[in-house]
Parts: sequence; C-alpha cells; structure tokens
Amino acid sequence: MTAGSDDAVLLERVVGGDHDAFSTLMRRHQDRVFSVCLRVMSNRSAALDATQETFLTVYRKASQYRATAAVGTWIYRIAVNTCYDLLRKERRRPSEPMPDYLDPADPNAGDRFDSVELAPSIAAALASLSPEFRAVVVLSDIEGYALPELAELLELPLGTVKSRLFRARKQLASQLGNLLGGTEHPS
Amino acid sequence: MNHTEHDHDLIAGYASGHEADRVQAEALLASCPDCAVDYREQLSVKGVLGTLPAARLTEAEAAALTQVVMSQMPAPMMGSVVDIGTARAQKPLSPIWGRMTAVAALLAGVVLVGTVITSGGGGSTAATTGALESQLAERSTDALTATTAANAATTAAASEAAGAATTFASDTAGDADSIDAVAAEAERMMFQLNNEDSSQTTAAATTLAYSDACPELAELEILASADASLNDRPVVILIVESDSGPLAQAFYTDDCTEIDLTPND
Repeated sequence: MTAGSDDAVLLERVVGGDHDAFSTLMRRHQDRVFSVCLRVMSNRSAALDATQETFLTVYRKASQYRATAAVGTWIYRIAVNTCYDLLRKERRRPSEPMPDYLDPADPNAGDRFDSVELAPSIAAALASLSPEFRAVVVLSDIEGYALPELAELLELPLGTVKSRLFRARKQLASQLGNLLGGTEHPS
Repeated sequence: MNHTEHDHDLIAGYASGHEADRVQAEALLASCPDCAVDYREQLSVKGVLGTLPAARLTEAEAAALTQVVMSQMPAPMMGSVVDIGTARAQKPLSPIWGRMTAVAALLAGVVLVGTVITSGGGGSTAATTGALESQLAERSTDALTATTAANAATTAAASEAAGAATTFASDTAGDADSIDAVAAEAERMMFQLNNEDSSQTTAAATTLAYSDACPELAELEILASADASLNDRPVVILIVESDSGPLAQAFYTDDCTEIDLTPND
C-alpha cells in the first residue's frame, strides 16, 4: 500500500469517527504542514496557530475530500489557505507580528538555522514577499514540490505558478544581493 | 530577443527542473543573453532557499498540538455540507456570546416573520420594516435596539436586501455594546445560514455595492450579508467562506476598516 492510498484509508476512517486514524494522519503530516506554515507566516507562534487550524479544518472537512488529489496535497492546500486567511486578518490589525528570526531563541526549537548569519537574511527576504508569492516559492524551492503538483495544490494554472515563481525569485534576488554569489548552483 | 511574460514562465519552469520546458528553454537561453542572466539568477535563489532546513515541531509543540486538536474535535462530521453549528461548537461561546446568541435567536424569529411578510404578503418594504420595528421595540434588550431590520441573508429580493439596513442605536448602548450587537447580528446570520441556504444574489449585490470603495470585499467569497450602522457610520456584516469554515466579519463601508468582532471575556 502506498503512503497516498494509506492516507486515503485513514481519512475514510476519520469520516467514520475514528480519532486514532486522525491522530495517525496528523502525526504523519504535522511537520510538513508546520514547515509550510512557518515559511508562509514568518512567525513561529502564528505558524503553530495555522497548523492547529489546518488540522481542525481537515477533520471538519474530511467527508468533503474527493480523491481527485492526494490526501497530502489536499491537506497542504488547506494549510496554505489557512495561512492566507490568517495573514489577511493580521493585515487588518494595527501591529505586525515579530518575524520568526527575531523571536527569542528557543533552545529546543527543531528548526534552528544551520547558518545563523545567512538564514535571517533569507527569512527577512521571504517575509517581504506577498503571501501568494511566498507560498509559491516556499512550496517549490524549500519544500521541493514539482511544478505540476504545486499547480494542483494551489489550484492555479501552471503558467500562473511559473509566473509567480519567476517574479518571487526576482524579488528575492534583489533582496538577497551578494548572498547569491556564494551559493552553489544546483544542476 | 525581447523578454516576454511567456519567456519568464519558461525560464522559471526550466530553473525548477520542469522537463517539458527544457528544449524550448535551452533554445531561448542560447539566443538571449538577458534570458541566460535571468536563468542563472533564478537558479541562485532556488539554491539559497534550498539551504534552509525543513522546519520541525519540537516534541513539546507536537504534543501540545495533538492535545489541543484532539480536545477540540467534535463528534464526527457526516455528509458533505459544512455544519456551521458543529464548527462553532469547537470553540465554546464566551458568556457574552451566549447572551447575545439568545438575543439573536429571539431576533431571528422576529426577522423570519418579517421575511414571510415581505415575500408572501406582497406588502411594501416600508410596511414590513414598520411592522418589524414595532415588534423589535417590544422585544429588544437595552443593549441592542434595532430600529430597522432586514434579513439580507435570505430574502428573495436581493436588490431590496442590499439596500435595506439594520441599524443599531448607539445612544442606548456604548461602543462595546454596539459592537456586541453587530457580533450578535453576525451570529444570527451564521445561525440562519446553518439552517437554510443563503442567497448568492445578495452576496453578489453586496460585492458590487462596495467594490469601488472596498475592493477588498471583491476578494471575499460572501455567503451572506447585511447592511447596518454603528456610531452613525455605515457597516456591512458579512459571512464569508474560508477554509476554516464560514467566518463572520464586519466592515465600516466608509473607509473599509474591519470591526473586531472578537468577544470580550
């Protein structure tokens, strides 16, 4: 059984009221959901809220899942849309949240940057993008989604994904400046 | 060769390793030095982002997440319709919301009577409004005095609904109470939406009515709407679709600022 079909079986059991199945599904996807939320929200606390809201929505909408996309894709789509919703609400509030890279150091945090000098610049550059551009570049270049899969996840035409990706990287390039010179180009 | 939007897509796709773009992109890069520069830049950014480690929840965060989510899980949802009632039940109502919900339920009954009069009785909107006014005057609480009411969410006449107004008198309630009144109206709309389908035509009318002044509204998927006023300012109360379920929002329509409907504990 593949992980995808396994997820579908779990989700079916969730619809039937099996909380253990939901717990298993959550454990399987929570790190990646959190990772996506953290990069899109730019704030650890907000990302935790978004992750929690995502899984509550997954539970609430489990019966609405249609097997036109993998369960994982469906879950990450909910995560991205939840982030958009939270960011939209945040935008209408007077104060901005403290960016994640300025949060007090948490010695137990699992996502400490390997390079403390480089990572804050990248995080700041990412935070400067619009949520829509940030989501595309995070899912593609950090989470490693292939473009067709990303288009399915975001429910956007492939051309729109490419266009957003080009512009997002272009903006990042101007923000990151010299940092780009020392980076090894992937083949 | 000139850059075009299409070229950019091709370059981004090729830099992402999208195989279908390879042949065309290689031909483009061979003939366009600027495109080659763009391509290298795209690769560089991709490479830098690739150095970020995947974020992980700490054990404590993962445990807390599991605990919180599992504790908020209601009875399993069956069927294919989002059950607003169940969704709301995940977050216990604060005392003030509980109180306002009771008031709202009372008003919902009154407004439904008004709707029947509007759609079935053939009377004018003014007459209906007058009838509602007198009923509301008898039944409303000190905190919430409705001088005019309209059921914008469910009325069959969308254009009438878009123009109708629900006014909360600020002289009988302080600012906080008035916002509570808006919140109660939103709660009533949620309740009603949960019990019958909303009118998409009303939502469309709302989007159109405010799209010039409030372009943000055009981005929202509006399920139900009602016009109101608060502190002598025009307000629109919306129930919008979101991935976290239907969401109540309210805006001053003169400057598009959102009214915080979060209950005060």
